Amino acid sequence: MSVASTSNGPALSEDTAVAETHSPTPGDLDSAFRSPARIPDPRTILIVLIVINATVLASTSQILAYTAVLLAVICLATVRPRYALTALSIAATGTALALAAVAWPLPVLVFVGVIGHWTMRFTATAAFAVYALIAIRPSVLVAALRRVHLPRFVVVPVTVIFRMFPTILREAGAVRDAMTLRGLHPDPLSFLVHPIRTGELLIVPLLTSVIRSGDELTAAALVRGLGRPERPSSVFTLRFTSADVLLGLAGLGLIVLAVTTGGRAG
Amino acid sequence: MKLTARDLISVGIFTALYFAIVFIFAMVGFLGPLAMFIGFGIGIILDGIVVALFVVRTPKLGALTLLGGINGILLIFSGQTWLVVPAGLICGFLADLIVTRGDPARLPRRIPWAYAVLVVTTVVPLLPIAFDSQAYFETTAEQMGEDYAAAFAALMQAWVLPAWVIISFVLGLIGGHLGVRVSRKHFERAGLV
Repeated sequence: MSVASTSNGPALSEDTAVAETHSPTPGDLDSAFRSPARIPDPRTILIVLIVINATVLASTSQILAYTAVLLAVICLATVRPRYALTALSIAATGTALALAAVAWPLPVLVFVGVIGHWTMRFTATAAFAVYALIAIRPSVLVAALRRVHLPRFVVVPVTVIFRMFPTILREAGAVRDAMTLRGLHPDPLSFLVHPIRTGELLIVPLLTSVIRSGDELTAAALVRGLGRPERPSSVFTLRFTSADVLLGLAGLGLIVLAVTTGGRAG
Repeated sequence: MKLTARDLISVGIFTALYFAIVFIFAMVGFLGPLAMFIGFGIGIILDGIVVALFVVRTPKLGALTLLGGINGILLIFSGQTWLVVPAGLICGFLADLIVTRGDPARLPRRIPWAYAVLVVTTVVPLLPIAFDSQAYFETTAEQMGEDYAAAFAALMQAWVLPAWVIISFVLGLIGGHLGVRVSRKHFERAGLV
């Protein structure tokens, strides 16, 4: 078999199937790592995430907030249309409440209006963050973080965190089941009556099981060379596409908008 | 003592736990602003358990700095202001100094103080609200008249921020004590320390 793969000519065609399982083509890797929708490079997404965050939450411009919500909703629509609709309706409700408070300045409406105003702003940052979480695959993110030469003490914990979240959720579910089995129902009522005791009952077993599986993860990761000083190569080549240009221009637009309209409310 | 690859993986595990617990309890905040502060408070106290165990397992300079900073990165992913990252790094470093300077035998006594310093960062996500509301208030007071301005001022008061700093510090002390107690009661026996 090895003879066939090293030789050229007719012998190669017989073993194509075997050869393919050994070394996937760039096309296979693309379909494995990239979603069908055009998704920008993780580096572009992260930069725009920080731009939205720093402009919308630090500027008083309304038009900027509306534009950012629009951008976040459009981006979210490319990966999860239903989430985009949810974000849009939350932002619209918030805006409606804020406008209602301006139209009829009753104390109750003002109170609700301010909450609506802030709901709309945080929708912009949160919706884009959700987009980033959906669009960036953990393995591609790690490759991108290494590419921008982030130090080891950032890359290794971030790699582990994305690996741990599903474990934490699974173990928390298991602990809750075990509590229910013993007649301790961890429902909102028990949290209201004994918040700390209920939390302790939930967190102590959760910590124990997560840390035990974490110790196993540590052993496995060290064997595979995680945390070695050398930079590992990646089978997936990161590259910028037209999607990056679009998203990058949108981010630049937000900065311009923040500079020109910032500092004034309303 | 330098952080080894094993310590860095440990930082990842504990940061994930730390963030998940605060996040789950902050979700109660959808019920309203008061519920948000109560949820934050419970989350802070319970996270003391996570931090106490983390400090006992990794008592090295830089461990809490990284936990604070990376927790800030995760908070950006939940829509909070980017200022949480520098705040997390600074408070984490101060907490690190409290943990690593001094007699290692008396470490359990210093853990509550270190944790209290670390959780003061929870005031930072409130900063943009305070900042923007000020500007919002000034212009709307001219446009909307006194009624609106009075109602608004009653809602967003300046003492909320310093009050939360003190409250979170006290909650951090309580959480740290709870963490040390729980560590002794459960984790030392289970051989996890």
